[in-house]
Amino acid sequence: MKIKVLLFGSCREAVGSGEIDLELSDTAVAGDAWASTTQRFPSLGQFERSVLLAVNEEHASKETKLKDGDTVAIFPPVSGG
Amino acid sequence: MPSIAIPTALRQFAGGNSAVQVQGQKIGEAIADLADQYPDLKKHLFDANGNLRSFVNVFINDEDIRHLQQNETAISDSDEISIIPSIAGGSATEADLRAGSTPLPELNKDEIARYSRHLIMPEVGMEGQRKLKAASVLLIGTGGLGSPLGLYLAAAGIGRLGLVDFDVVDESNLQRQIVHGTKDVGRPKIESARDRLSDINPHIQIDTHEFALRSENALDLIRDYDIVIDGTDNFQTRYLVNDASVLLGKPNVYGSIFRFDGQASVFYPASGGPCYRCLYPEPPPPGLVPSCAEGGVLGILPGIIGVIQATEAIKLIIGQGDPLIGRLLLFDALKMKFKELKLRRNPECPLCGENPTIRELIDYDQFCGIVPETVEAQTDDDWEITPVQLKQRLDQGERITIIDVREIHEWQICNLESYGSRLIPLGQFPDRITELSREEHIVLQCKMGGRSAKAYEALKKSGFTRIRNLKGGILAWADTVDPGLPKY
Repeated sequence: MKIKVLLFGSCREAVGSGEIDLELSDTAVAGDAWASTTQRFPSLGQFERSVLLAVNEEHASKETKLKDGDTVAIFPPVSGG
Repeated sequence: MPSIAIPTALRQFAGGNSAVQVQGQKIGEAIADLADQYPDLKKHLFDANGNLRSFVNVFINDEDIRHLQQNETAISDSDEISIIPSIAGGSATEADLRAGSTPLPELNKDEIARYSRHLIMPEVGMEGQRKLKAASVLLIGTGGLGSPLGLYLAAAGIGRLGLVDFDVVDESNLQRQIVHGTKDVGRPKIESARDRLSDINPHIQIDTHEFALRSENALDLIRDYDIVIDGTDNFQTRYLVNDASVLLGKPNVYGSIFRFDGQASVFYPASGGPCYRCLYPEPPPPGLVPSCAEGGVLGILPGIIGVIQATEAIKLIIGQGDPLIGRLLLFDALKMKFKELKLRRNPECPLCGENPTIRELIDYDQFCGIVPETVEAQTDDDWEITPVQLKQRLDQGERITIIDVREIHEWQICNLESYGSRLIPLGQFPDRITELSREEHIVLQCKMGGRSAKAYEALKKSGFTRIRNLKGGILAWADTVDPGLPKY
């Protein structure tokens, strides 16, 4: 299935782009989208335990199931104030 | 036997219990039984006529009994019954609930004139304005977010505003921290903020707390306020504010900014929403996510996010509208777009989940991986060089290559080119290491010493040995060697 990944903040900067397309297996979950993205962009790997994932604008866990055409968004934490 | 969950604010009147077992077939009977068991609760739950107070919401399995058969609603042992401070669509706050029968303060003639644009709206009115006067709000930080927060909350007539900050106004703050002025540079931020806020509204009380919020003082401080607003600039304090608010059952109005992006939410597990740890169970490794000092921020951005936080605080107090509980509002100033994420509570959250493991405040520096400087110095004594040492060695004619790892737009502000410095931005590092020789003496330099420490690690891994990190970066150079150099 085809998945769109949106990247925000310092994750977008680490990848150099705010949006990428992925082709994943039909049984993929949100964690697979993350794994596939970090495989393409290893510098994202250090965010592993500290990103917020959302599937179609809803807070998701790595186990959340995906379907064709879903959008996975990756938000790193932000500390500025 | 069914049990009723008691909100934090009322536990002191219910023997400290978070849940009480009650008897009854109908919810009205169950609540009456609760009040019989704990008579101190009565005045907080019922008005003089024995009716449930308008701001006391009783929920059976996420449904307000006002939308069911009210007191007549049948209950069973398996039902989850809770009393919830009525901020989610109700008409009052936890403060009112705790205050019980305490009457709201009156407004004098001057205050009525001042707040007239509030008073003529039915959503605020005299009652809402008196609730604002009765309320106390703690602002953690009087910087980018704290400035608009303080200005608008003071103007709105929040009865008691607490300010926490230990910092001093710096020239580089003035681009966004609009509560402070040019004349305030060098003054403690809370003094400068207090003067400005009491000028805006002399009718309110302003408490100043000039210290850093720490695990040792956070609970005592936050306990004394109805609402906490997080306007800090680092992860340690964000987790500390979150944990202390959750432990005390207080709403935490959250906002955070970076460059052109901002986010806001209201964390309030006591009313069913998630907390910050539900979103971000762990902080990022130190240095991974740049702070505003390192990454920059559009000056207007904290204005937008801070004003959203102030709006949420006022809504919580007057009990109007839909609070940002369970929603993360994301703002992108470049696209000029708002986006909203539905949040959910993490049942495994170590703080607000079903089996919490965090029951008291922890060491947040350690949690966020902040190592005290002295330890680092002990482990690797000579990896850094101070600006003064570097200057001495350059003056003695030593050949040292200074590599500036900042971005080109920072280089344009100030640089050490007159000492032969070259620019290789950190992002280009893996590819451009070949431009450097292992025979050279190299000093790595950035703005404050953080990014150059990463470059140091990269070179060390590639087998470089004659390398040093410039301690404190070009800012320290400006402070100790060349005061004529512009600072940013």
